[in-house]
Amino acid sequence: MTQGAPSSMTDVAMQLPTLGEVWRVMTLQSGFNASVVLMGTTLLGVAAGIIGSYALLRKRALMGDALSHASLPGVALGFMVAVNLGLPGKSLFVLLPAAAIAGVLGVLAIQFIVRHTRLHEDAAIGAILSVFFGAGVVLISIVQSMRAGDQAGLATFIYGQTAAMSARDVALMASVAAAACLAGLLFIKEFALVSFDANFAAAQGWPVSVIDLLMMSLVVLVTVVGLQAVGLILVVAMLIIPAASARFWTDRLSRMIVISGLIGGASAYVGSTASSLLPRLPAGAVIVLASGVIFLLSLFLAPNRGLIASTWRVLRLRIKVAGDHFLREMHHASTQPHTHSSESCTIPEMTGELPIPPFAEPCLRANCSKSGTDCSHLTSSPPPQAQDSPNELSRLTLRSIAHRRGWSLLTARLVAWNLRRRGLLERTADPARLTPAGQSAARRVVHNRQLWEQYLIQFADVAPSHVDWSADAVEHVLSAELVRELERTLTEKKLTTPLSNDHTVLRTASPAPPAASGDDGRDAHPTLSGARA
Amino acid sequence: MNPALYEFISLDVPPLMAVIFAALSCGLLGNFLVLRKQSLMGDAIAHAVLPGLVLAFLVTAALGHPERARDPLIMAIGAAASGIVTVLLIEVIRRYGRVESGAAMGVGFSIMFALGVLLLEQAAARHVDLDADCVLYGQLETIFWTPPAASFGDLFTFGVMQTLNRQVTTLAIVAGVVVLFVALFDKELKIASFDPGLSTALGIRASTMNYALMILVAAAAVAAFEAVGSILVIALLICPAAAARLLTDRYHRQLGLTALLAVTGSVIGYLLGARVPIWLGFDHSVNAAGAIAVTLGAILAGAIVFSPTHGVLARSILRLRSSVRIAREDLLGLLYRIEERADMSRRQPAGEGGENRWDESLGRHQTPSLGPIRAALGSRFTAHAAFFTARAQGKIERTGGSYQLTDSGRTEAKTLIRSHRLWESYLVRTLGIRPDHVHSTATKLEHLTERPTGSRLMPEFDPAILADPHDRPIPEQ
Repeated sequence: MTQGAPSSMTDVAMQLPTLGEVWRVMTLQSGFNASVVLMGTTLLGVAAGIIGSYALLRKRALMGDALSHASLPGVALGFMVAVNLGLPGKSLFVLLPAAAIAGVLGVLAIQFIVRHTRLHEDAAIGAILSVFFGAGVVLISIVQSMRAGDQAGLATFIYGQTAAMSARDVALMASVAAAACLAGLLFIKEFALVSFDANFAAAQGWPVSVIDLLMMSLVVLVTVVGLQAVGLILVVAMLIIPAASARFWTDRLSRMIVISGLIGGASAYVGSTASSLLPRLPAGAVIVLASGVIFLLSLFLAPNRGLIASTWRVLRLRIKVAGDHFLREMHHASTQPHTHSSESCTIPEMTGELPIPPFAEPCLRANCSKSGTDCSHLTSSPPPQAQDSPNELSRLTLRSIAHRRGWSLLTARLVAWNLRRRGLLERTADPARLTPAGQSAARRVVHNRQLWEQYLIQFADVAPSHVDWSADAVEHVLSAELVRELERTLTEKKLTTPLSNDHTVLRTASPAPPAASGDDGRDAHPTLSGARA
Repeated sequence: MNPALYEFISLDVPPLMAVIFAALSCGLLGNFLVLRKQSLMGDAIAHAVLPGLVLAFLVTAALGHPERARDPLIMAIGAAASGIVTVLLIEVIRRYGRVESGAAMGVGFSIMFALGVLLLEQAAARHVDLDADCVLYGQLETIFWTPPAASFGDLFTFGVMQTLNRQVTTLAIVAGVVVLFVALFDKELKIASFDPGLSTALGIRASTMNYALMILVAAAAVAAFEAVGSILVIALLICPAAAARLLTDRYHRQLGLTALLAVTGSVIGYLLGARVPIWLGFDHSVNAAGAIAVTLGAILAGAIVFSPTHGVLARSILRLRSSVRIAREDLLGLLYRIEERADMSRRQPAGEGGENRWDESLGRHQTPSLGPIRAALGSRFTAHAAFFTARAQGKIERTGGSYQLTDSGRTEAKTLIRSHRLWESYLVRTLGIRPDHVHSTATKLEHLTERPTGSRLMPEFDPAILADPHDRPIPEQ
């Protein structure tokens, strides 16, 4: 943005550090204080990552936000108390407990509002957060007029300033962070139980409120010790962002905690390094941005829950569904009863001892019409209409398929390309022609769909005119076992109910080219609605 | 012109106007956030307009127009862009990342705010007069106006008005736009807030209204930013609307009340922060933005406690009164049952087990002892209050260490027991619930049965049936 700045800007251009400097800071060789701060913030990052995981799972992410904002009046009051007691105003042993008390009061106030009024949690959090913070601002302005102690440091609690921390401050922060890490790892079972299913935990006899309190106090501890380093506005980010990033990479809590701790530690490490190397980079903001970058990377790149992976999954399913539709269109084009092969309509294993199942009806009808007798008892539906290219077996122009499916020509081309790649469509140009493998795939597609429609009509009491939509959503994801199961069930049921011949089952087992037809190929939803499945 | 008046006009009027306009725009918009449970979106946007604001500054400065850096239009564009980016970012994280909405907001706004802080530090190094602290709590105190006006009347000429501070005029414009928006899209906002699905079905796209709102919130936030700071923006967005939510159930009244509360709270808060300490003899005023936030918080707290309909106080008084009433009625019923039992055992030897808990807890004692009665009436306080009110109303009397019903008490108790047993019969005969399951339901319903309902229960039965499912007689009216 500012590269094209006029020359007056050059005097403040960043002095980029040399690699040697970077290496010295990163390996803790650049002076005692810088190294201590780096280690302390890294430890804090790890602790916040671990504790944040629980807070995220317990859906308390924004509670941390309210907590940290609400701690400001505590900081200011603590300062006043410390000054009046004759202590140095910035004694953390007074400031931090005061901050914690104020923060907890804020959280309790939120819970009171949620429980006893009609206001929802969002309004309660927003109100308490801003009002407490406002009170803190008022108190700080009073402190500033007191002219006592070194009140200049108080404002650092808002934005955080690692450089202003003394080695003792850092030691306190680091030890609290270490304790929080330890507690977070020690109580993993209890915390997991309460985070995932508090009611179940209570039913099992766990002291849920005690565990909850412990969890909340760890959040308070981490928030409060993090105030000075990253500031009270951004400290909540250290709790939320690593945990939310870690959630993308795994579904196991133990792994999530480890990953979250690592992300928190790494971003704190990178952030404080950058902040100590370059001028005017506030540590808190850099730490948050570093973890933000990790978050965005996770959001996009994570293998399973990531945006790219899940988009790819959806896309593949859509392609498969579109391919199925394409095959079905090809199939219907090739199996019009008046065009060919009605004499090959046999149902070998069904005729004889078993009653004729209705899905064999089209075959009967075909045979019947061949023999010249009256076939009206077999069907009530109008005779099928003539197709685009009645004499071309399995051939249909892409344009007509696109038209019938409601696709653009480009979509049809893409789908055809994919089918050719899979060896289901011959590599000839328009009009397309199914390979033998393609023909059997098409038969399977039609078969599965009709099985499912039958099942819905027979067992789920769905009206025949309504099965189309629902079958559309399911037909593409039927597994082989389910198909066998459906075949078995539908055969056992013997299908005595009269059916409209719009819904007939095609036998893939038949060695000859199938002749069943009826589904007129025009779905109620010609778009890719099946992709929803 | 009077020098004191001139001082007031130049020192206090501009911040007051800024505060009033900010209160009006934020307060009105806050209503929709609170109603749609999106308060935290306001919070997130108020934090997240920072990078857009700073970028707008830096870009105008870099393009060689530093004098236009504070042009309201450019600022509004920067802020609105950044507000929209935040809303979209949060939406992407929430929907496609499947992150819980609170966490998504936390992630979104803290990344944006961190970016803003970073840019701010860089900008500060480039002598752009933006200050990190003023972002949070504004600089109300630094807004002043030196109108070139000789008399009070001259103030209202266009030329003099033009010299008014830029922050104030910006806020006035935003407030005007917000009021116009709320007035013009009254119906649309209402339906989109209460029933987004219906609204979309009717052709008013709820998501479009949502984005329009978010853009306005961003604009209001950025306009108020410099003058009052982002924290006060959040307080103004949420507190008055939440308070109004507790005071009324009507949409238009809510809007009016919010505007009223926001403006009053801001004016009082400003005076408390900036003037009162001086009047009281302190040498320093306190931060006015903070004082306004605290005043708004106090108004909300007042509404939470004292609201006549939804307040904690009113509701606990109501709860207390009804629990005392129920305990008193239970007491009368209890004494009636004891009398009835004594009556029956006089007529026939006791033997069959009692179906209800009082019968069990009181056993077959013929003289009621106070302990079990009190235990049956809930807490100590309600028990005492029940005895006290019943005696004060002359429903019971104390004779020789035990309590007895008076005649008027007996009449009331009869009504109650009648309602209880009618309910039991109704539940068993009409609803087919098992007799041993109906007692607790009837215990609740008996207190809520008005006389008409009680008599409506009656024709459900064969008039010949005079006993409840436990074979106790249903007392007559």
